[in-house]
Amino acid sequence: MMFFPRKKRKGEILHPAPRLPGFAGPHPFPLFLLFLVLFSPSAFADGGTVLAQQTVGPYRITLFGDPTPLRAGPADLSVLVQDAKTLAPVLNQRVEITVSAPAVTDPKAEAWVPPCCSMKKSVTTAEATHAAAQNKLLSAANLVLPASGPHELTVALRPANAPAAEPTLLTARVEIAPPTPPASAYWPYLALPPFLIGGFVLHQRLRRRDDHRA
Amino acid sequence: MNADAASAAFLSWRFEPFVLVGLALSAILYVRGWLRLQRTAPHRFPAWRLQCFLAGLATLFLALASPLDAFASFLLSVHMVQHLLLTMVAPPLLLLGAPYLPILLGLPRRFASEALGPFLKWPALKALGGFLTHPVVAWSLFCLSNVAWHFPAFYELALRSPFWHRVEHACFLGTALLFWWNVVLPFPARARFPRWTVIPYLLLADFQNTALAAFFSFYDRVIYPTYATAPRVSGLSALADQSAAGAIMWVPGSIAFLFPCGLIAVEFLSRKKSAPAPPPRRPTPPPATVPASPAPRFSLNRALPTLRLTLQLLLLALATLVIWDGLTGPQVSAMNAAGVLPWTHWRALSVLALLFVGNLFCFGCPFMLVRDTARRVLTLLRLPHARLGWPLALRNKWLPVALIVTYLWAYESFSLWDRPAATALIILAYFLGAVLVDVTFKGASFCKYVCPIGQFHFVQSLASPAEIRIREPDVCRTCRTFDCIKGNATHRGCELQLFQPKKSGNMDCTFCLDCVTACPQDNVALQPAIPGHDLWNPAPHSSVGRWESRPDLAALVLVLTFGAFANAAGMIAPVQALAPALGLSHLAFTTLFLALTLLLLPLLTTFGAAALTRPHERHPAPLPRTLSAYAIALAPLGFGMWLAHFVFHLGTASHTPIPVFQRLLGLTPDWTIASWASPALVALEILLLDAGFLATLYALWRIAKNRAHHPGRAALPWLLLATALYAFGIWIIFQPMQMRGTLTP
Repeated sequence: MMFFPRKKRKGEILHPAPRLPGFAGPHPFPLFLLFLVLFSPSAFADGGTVLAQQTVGPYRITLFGDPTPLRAGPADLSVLVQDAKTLAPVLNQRVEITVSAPAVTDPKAEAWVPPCCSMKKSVTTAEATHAAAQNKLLSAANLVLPASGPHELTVALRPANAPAAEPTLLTARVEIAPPTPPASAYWPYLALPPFLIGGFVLHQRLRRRDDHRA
Repeated sequence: MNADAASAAFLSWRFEPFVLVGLALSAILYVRGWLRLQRTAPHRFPAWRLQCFLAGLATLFLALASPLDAFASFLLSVHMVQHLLLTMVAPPLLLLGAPYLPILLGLPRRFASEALGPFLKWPALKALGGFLTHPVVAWSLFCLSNVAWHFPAFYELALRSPFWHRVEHACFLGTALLFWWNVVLPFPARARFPRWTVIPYLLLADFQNTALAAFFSFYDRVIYPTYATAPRVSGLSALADQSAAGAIMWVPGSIAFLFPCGLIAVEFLSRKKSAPAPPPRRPTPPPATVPASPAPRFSLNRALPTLRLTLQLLLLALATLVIWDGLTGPQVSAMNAAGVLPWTHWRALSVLALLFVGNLFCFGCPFMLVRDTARRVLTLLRLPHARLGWPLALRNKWLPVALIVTYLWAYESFSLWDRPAATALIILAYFLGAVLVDVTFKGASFCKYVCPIGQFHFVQSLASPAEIRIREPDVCRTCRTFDCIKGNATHRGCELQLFQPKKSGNMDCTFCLDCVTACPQDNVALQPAIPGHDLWNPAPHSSVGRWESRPDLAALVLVLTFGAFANAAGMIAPVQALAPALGLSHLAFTTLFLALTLLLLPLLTTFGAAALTRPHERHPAPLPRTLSAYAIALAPLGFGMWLAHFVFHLGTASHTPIPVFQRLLGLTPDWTIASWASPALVALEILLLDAGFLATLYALWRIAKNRAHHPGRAALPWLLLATALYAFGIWIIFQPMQMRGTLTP
């Protein structure tokens, strides 16, 4: 592996590099390409911030919420269940998350829900599963928080092999922020046409200038 | 952590499509360019460069998709490993691959020279590149980014927000690439300072890294509140985890700086004492080989007819199932094959096929299979058929335009999507219509002059990335038999009268492959094409003519474009609330709404735009000609809206065929099925509409450039019309929509 530019050996003919339009000297073009890879749009991943953490019976239960702060609309809620004594993750529990929201009095507080998710609008209880979580130690579920204001989130744990058993409950009161307007939730996609049009206008100007010079 | 938990932790991968596509695209471009460089400059791009670049991409994948990412918000030490991969491992590996030339050569040649060329030659960008890669600037940016992002306020911000987390990663990777640029000097970069200066360059960076690492290792309080409250999933306390993170930053981080430092020092010192270079090796002639007999080559042309017949048989079987279930099954759209398959899945899959390949619906058209069978039967029975020519007055697109308007009106007025029996009857009528027209009239009159589905696909396939066209023009120049259009003893020629040497684009092409199989020279084939290139082609098209001389085609494009928006608007809550607000019945409101959006609005806006454009034309033509020349460019925008609309239905009703088939097979149907509905579906819809909008703007600009003194001024009214439609489309996407084809109201 060479960190130095290779020196031409005596008598050796080095093939010239292929000529490319406008290349002269270092150019960080590939960097931009890799930047694009990283600027992927935000995805719903489990995790986020800790909303509540409590030891209930034999378990230590941690409830996470994303986005931060939690806003009215689609939210990703996930739960980590640990053994209270050893803190070892417990994976054999059936986890159910329930949101109880106040009645919506202010229409501005009502959530804007992406149209395709409006079928979930009435769903305020969901089973959190390991399959839905990126971090497989967690159980995750996507819920729709119907409005801003104080909400009560309840996590119910039951052994996976005894679904009718008395649940272990964790209850947390959280303040839900007003919903994100659709334009700000999807701004990178809306910004794409003006960005590319700007690039095209610049491209045409540069091309005209090149033609004049030629 | 017990064994179950450990295995669960190791399974915590996240395969985010954008990261995967980005990395795969980078790898494909690099490999493509590297293979080309292997032929021209093999000594500069040996195999180890390829291996380094791919290893760099693999490192990025490991950092962004592996359990490291899943546990980064639980353990600072894991997060530190992720950051080290992004700053110390991936960047030097990527740069050792000298990616500039391979990636540039890996891009399509025309794109690299025409689209990127002006930017690459832009002095301001070159100056920026030179400035950013200057050792002092690159070193400062790298250290600044490393220190700044470790301030608790910024670090916490990144932990709380996915967006800022990505910005943080981009800063780390971007500044690290700039930093390692001066160490690796990827070909064809040149050193700005003597090479020995790289040693202090690296050592100074290591001092900064060591100071930060020592702070993490020895600080007696938890720096980041998130890690103080995060549940402990390992045996480490938050403080011990912080110290471990410091140690990781310190030891492997320092090795990453000191290893190349030592390597450069050794290389630098050994260079002065190096022995004289060995004499150059003469290139050895390639070994003589016995010419092998030509291996049988796979020909797509030969495989396509079989593929077509298979698809036709499959679609015929599905159409039969839909008709039978529609007439005999439950009359609830979500429970019936006639309510699910044609309105949700077939429509979406056929437009996605148009986007990625071409007119695959006409390619696999079941109506044509039945028509051909009927003609064969009549031939066997020696009964006269297909002798009449299609009436001259109807040799245009006005009849399909009227049929499409009628269909869009009937679809919304009578909720056809929710009437399985009516759907079945429509499909049955379609089969009968196709057979009756084509056993009466010559050629493919039904396809060319009647079929509304075919016209829809013809127009949308103008933006497809493939077309049937000739391979070598010279072969056609010497051709005297014209089998592609006239046919021969064994194969029929093009029934839609498209003469291959003069054909351009996909208008009126059913992908039936008659020309492909008829050509004795095997000179006609399915080939890649620049999507939409035909929209701004002013030359006459075989059997179609010039766009400007076809007002019927312009009307077809306008009905399908405005129809895309009207059809999607029909299912959103604000439009549905208008009928009761205006005190109109559903039928009256739908009739009024479609008369306005499909007839009045297109007429007014396009004639207005054409009138404003006309004064700027080089050769002012009558208004309908100007309108026809520009209106064709709106097709991609309509296509984008159809795509967004149909993809929405496909996403929300993705799994609906499962319980329908369970019912048909006599199993117990599970109607509570999942779907692909998610917030990401909205993003996909917007992206598809964006693509259509941008393609329309580009086509308008190209047409104006062909026809006007001042392209900007001439195209402006049309650009504004396209922008208004695009804004309306975005508004529609954000509205509450009916979940048609599902059991959700």
